[in-house]
Formats: sequence, structure tokens, C-alpha cells
Amino acid sequence: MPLPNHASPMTSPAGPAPGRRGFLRSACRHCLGLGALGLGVGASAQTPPESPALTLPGRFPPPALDSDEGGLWALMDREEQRLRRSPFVLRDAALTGYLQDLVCRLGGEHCADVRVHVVSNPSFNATMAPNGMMQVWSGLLLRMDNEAQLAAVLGHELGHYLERHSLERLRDTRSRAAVAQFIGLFGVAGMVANLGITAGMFAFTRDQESRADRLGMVLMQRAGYDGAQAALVWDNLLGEMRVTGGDDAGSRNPLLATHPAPANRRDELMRLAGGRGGELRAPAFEAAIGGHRLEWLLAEVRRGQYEQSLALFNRGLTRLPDDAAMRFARGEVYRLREGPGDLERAADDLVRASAAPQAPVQAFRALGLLRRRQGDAQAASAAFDQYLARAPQASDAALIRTYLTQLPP
Amino acid sequence: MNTLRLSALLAAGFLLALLAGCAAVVKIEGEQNVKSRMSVRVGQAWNKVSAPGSEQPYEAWTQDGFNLDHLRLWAGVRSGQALVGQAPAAAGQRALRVPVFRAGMAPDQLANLFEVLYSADGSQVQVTRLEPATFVGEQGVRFELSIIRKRDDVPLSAVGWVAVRGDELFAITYVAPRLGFFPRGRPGVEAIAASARLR
Amino acid sequence: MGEGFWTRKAVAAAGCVWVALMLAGAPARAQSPSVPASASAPAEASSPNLAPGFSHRSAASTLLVVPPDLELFSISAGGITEPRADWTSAAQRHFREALHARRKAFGTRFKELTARELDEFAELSHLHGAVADAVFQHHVVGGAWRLPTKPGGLEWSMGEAVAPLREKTGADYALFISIRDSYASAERKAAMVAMALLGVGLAGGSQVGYASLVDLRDGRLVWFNALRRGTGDLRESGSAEETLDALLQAFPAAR
Repeated sequence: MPLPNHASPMTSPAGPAPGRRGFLRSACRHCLGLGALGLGVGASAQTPPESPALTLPGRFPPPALDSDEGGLWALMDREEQRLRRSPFVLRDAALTGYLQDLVCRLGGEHCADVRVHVVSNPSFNATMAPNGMMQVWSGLLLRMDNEAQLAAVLGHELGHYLERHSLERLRDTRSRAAVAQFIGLFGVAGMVANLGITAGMFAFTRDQESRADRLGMVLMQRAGYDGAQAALVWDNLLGEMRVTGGDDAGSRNPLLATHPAPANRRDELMRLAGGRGGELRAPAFEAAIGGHRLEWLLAEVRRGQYEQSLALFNRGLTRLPDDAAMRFARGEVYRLREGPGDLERAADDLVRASAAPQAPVQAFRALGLLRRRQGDAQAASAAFDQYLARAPQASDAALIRTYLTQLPP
Repeated sequence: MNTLRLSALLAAGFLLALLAGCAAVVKIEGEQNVKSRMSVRVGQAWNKVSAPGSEQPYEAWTQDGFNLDHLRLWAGVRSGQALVGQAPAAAGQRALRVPVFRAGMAPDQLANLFEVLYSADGSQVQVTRLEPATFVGEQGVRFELSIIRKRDDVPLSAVGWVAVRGDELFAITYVAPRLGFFPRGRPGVEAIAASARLR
Repeated sequence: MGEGFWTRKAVAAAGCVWVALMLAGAPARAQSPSVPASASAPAEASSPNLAPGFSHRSAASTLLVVPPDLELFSISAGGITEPRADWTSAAQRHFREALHARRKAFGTRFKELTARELDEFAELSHLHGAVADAVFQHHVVGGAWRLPTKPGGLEWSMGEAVAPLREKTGADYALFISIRDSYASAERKAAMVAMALLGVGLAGGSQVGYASLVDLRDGRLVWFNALRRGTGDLRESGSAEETLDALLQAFPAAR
């Protein structure tokens, strides 16, 4: 049954005539006239798009409770309440503040309506609900190389928010059952993360994805970031998914399931970036995220999706060969997977990681366990000694001490 | 309380109330024989739940109901055998990771089997303690976990023992909510584990 | 979950599969809250609602009311349930008013916890939800699921988990309320009529919920009333009061 066509109490921002048929037929009700900026299909590939001169709509007033939109807001407010009470939410004021500041840099006055929540979940995902609730999952933060890439993702999500794509999708669906699933998307676990959901009812359309890409690009470039990083984000994610995924890769990743890739996304993003350059702000990003990275790497390893983890770690180590934590993580994956040749690969990585100045203490543990497995008693003892010296109160210290006593001198 | 879960239980409960013979919940006390391979002694009464026709490699006991606490006892698990019979994956869902015991596993790997077991449903699991311990007269390992249950956000604590005799695995785990339930149940469970003997 | 009669065979098969899933540790899956048409049981008799040895609250005791957890759903013609926020908000309003109207029944010492304050006690709130589910399964529904180690019936306790709540509020008892309420939409009602003519019973909608009284001195659930019926309407204020009355039937007095 179609949803009742409640008139929205809001006036639409600059754009074509309102009404469902208008939306279905032509430009959307809330579109922000990006065509005028030369970002439309007709723009020549030779001519870089104009520098962003976009006017964002004003902040959205809260909708009437008895409207369909109002109903959704109330439900999402309750989801947000659940989120606030969930032990899966990362309560780190500095990290949340950093992300909130980034949202302000991108979204201007809208950031007053946006509440960022960081969720402990090793999958790559970020969502933005129409009531301003934004979630960023730790798996996504682990996969960003710098602040510009993070700005690309948040800018993209803000794009969906500013043009109210979720609401349009909802109004477009023909089943009320979709509402329940829609709310599920914004729960802590996220229904999409739980189910092998294919591009279902709550996937944005490819057209909306293109618009969000374009709007996200404008937002990030206006804030001074290098737009080319946006192309890299999607490239990297798809690369990781393709390792095990094949065609249904998207169905197993929450973000990809709801954000279907428009054709030639990467090339289109590069074109939109127009070679204008910009900042990466890697040091600021590192300062904010760095403290959590090891914990997130461990969570990634714990997923047990070794091929995907290797794709991620290989990429990371190609870029930063001296990252001891990443190298330990890769070595640990080889050690756990124990496929043909894996133990030797693990040894290479773990030896190198534990020799680095920033060696994480877990690297010594892993090396010790590996050497013990390989029958190299001397190397195992040496590694275990170093582990216990650095972490005498480790949760498994008693077991490692026992291993030490059992190893021949 | 999460959306609809109560109703799911209720609806299923009605169905169950209509049929007597599917689930069996029996009270057990004193000396218990687990899978004919391991004996334990219980100081207080427990509820043992079984479903004829759905065999698991472990016995499942509870004090307050599986939604709250459970005690699982594995005895004589052979190399190559999974620790849990696979629950059928729902349509469209990926099959859950299932830990498989293999002969020759080091103690840290044995403990890791249970880390995998309890995180298979997406719950967040941390090993908070891992130490050698004698269990069923063998050199085994004792571990403690802290778990955040995915489906309803409830923080749980777990304690477990695992050891290998020959090529067979024996284990006991106890999981209960961190607050109130686990501290209350743990002493009794420690006593059960200490009493475990092979047959 | 579909509509229609459940044959004994279907019931047995479904029940055994459900038990198997529970033993394998599979998570309970969300289903429609509709219940078989035959099950419109009236509210429980009073004594199974009470923990052994408990009969009333002392006159001097303070009662803390925790923000009720309400969710209302609409059932479409196809039997799909969808949450309805406007109904839920209305229900929350009516329920709150009904609760206030009942202050006298609660006794003179009565406090309310705000939603923001409940954030601090999130773990306790989640834990209580899990306990309530266990009570529902093993005591309210019981039958083959009754736990033989609990011959007295309502014998659950959260122990010292409640201590921080007692410290913060000074209350002696806490009242937790939760309701999942579904209503047949107009289309569904029409479908029900049509199907009834063909001799098929459809579940129209149901109220499922509980009110639970916890002694904050030792964490025991001392009183538990479950609601499971095919009637009741939280969307209107008069009927919201009626629902609260049903929920709080034989609520232990303070004397």
C-alpha cells in the first residue's frame, strides 16, 4: 500500500515543483540545483567544473508529529536513545569532538542539527538519519588514510541528508513494512549489517548516489580538501570487497548494500575533483584516530575474514611500510590462517614489527606463539621474554610464563 | 527490551505450551554423567535442557533460563569435530563461523575456539584472563571472557576450562550477565569444574 | 509470521525447531507480534504474580517508576507489522497521564526516573529486559519450559545489580513497564472479515507486555504481571487507562 501523501510542512528549497509525480519524473523536490554549477551530464570532460559556489539550504525545522516524516523522526529519536545507552558506542569525547568539528567544517550551520556517534563495529559503514543522527563505525575509521577521505565520506552522507534522499526513498516505496526495515538501518547493529541484504528497498538510487557524490565533492572542496581522495575511498573499499565478494560483494557490506555504485564512480569522482588539489590533513587525522588504531586492527583480525583483512593490510603497508601496528596485524592474520606458506609470511612480518621502535606489545606475543609452533625454542623464548617484560600484567601472562618454562633452554 | 523479541518468545512459547514432548527440562543434582565420558558433581540443582532430535556436542544447563545464563559441558569431542552443531543460516545470511577442534592445538588455540564461539553472532568478545589450569586431570587452560551480546546489548561475563586427553577435547563454559548473575553463579561453577573427572 | 490456523503438526515442528535453535545459541529472530487467534487469555490470577513470601509493600516504602518502554505497531493487510511513531507518542502521553492519575494506588512515596537519568542505568535496564524475557518464557508461559529448580514460580533476582539505582534514588522498589501493541489497520480488518467468511481466523492484533516490580534492596522480582490479549488500545486516553489498569491489576499495595 502506498504511504499517505502527507504534505510536508516544509517549504522546499530552491528547485522544481513539489509533488510525488514531479519527483518521479524529473529533478527531485529537494535538489540543490547542482546543474547550474556545471556539474551536470552536459559538462565537457575538458572543462573542469566551476569552483563551488553552492548555497546550502537553511536548517530543517522539526516536522509535525503526525506527518510521515514526523513519525520517522520520533522513531529515530528512540533509536538514538537506544544508541546512547548501548555499550557498543565508543565514548571518547575527543574523538567524537573531532568528527563533530569535521561535520561543521563541511556542513556549516547544519552541524548544529547533526549528532555524531562513533560505534564499535569492524565493518566499513557510516549512516546519517533524516533526524540528524550520524553514525560512524570504527571499521570505517580504520580504513581512512587521511582526513580528506573521511571528509569525502561524511560529505557524501551530508549530501544525502541535505537533499533528503532517505525521505524521498521512503515515500517512493510501496510497502509500509519498509518503514521498520528503514529504522533498522539506523540501529546500533544496523539491520543491514546483520542480513545479507542486497540493494533492497533502502538502497539509495544510483541517481541519488551520483548527486551525493557531487554534493559531497562540493562540500569537501569548499572546506579545502583534495577531492581526488574521494575516488580513492571507493576504489579501496571495492578492492577489499572484491577479494571474496564477486558480484554480491555489496550484499555483505552494510555501506555498499545501501549505496549502489553508479557507473564509473571512480572516474566520475576524479573528473569532479577537477585536479584542483587540496589538503589531506593527515597529521590531524592521525592525532585524533591514532590512539584507537591498534584496538581496531585487533578487532579487524578478530572478524576472521582473513582475505579481506589481508587486502586492507596490504594496501596499508604499501602506503606506510613502517607502520608497526599494521605489520603486526598482517603477521597475525597469516599466523592464524595457517595456509600454505603463511607461517613463513607471518614470521617475516612479526619479526619486522617487533623490531620496530613502535612495536605493539602484541607483536612479541604473536612472534613467540609462532616460533613455538614452528619448533624454534630459542626464538620463542626470546619473544615471550620481551612480551612479559613489556606487559607483566597481560591477561595471558600466566599462560605465557608456562610456555616459557616448558621450552627447552 | 528489544523490538518484537518478547513477542517472538511469547509466540513460540504458546506453540511450545501446546506440545509436551519436544523440549525436556529436567532438574539435576549430585553426580552427573556428561555424554558418557565425563562426570561432574553439582552442589546445587541445575536445569538441564535437551531437545530430542537435535543433538549438540555439549550438554546445556541453566539456572535462570538461557536468555540469562548457561553452563555448557563438552566431553569427548574428536579432532575435526565442530564445537557446536551448525544452526541453519537464515535466508540471505552468511553462515556463522564455527570453531573446529583439531588435535595438536596449543592451549592458546584451544581458548581461541571459545572466543570464536561466542563472537560468532556478532557479539564483542575480549579475553580478560588466560592461564594454565588442571582440568579433568590434564594440563589444560582456564579462561575468562567479557562479552557484549549483540542482540540486546547486555554485557556478559564468561569463565571456562578446556583440556585435551589423547585426541579428545573436554570443556566447560559458564556465561551469565556481568551484573548480579555471574558473580552469584561463579563459585558453584568453579566447584563443578574442579570436580570434573574422565570416565 | 503468517496467518491461519496452526495444525498440531505445524506447531510441533515449529516448536522443536525453535528449541533446537535456542540450544544452538542462535539469536531469537524478530517476528510479528500477532498471536494465534485462540489465545486471548485473561490477565493472570494474583498468586502466580507474586514471588514466594511477598504480599505487599510497607507503608513507608518509596516506589520508583522507570520510563515505560512502549512501542505500537500497525498490521497491514498482508500481516506485516510496521512501527507507528505517532501512535507510540500518543500512547506515551496517555500512559503517562494514566500513571499520574494512579498516584494514589502507588502510595504516598512515588518518584519518577527521567529518560535522561535512565541513560546512566542502561546496563541495568537492558539486564531487566533480559530477565523479563526469561520470566515470560519460563514462568508466565511455562508449561514444558517451567524450570524445575524454581518450584515457587516467580523466583528471579538481579542481586546487587540494582544497588546503584537504589543509591541514586533512595527508592525501595522499582516498577518497570513494557508494552508491544499492534493494531489491525483498516485494510487488515477488512481482510479479517473476508477471511472469517471463509472460516480462517486471522490474528487482529495483540497487546503483549509486562509490569515488573523489583525490590531494590535485594534485586528480587517480587511481582510480575504479564499482559497478552487481543484487546486494548493505547492510542486513546480512555483505553490507555484501561490498559494500565489491566497491567497493574492486583499491584501490591503499600500498607
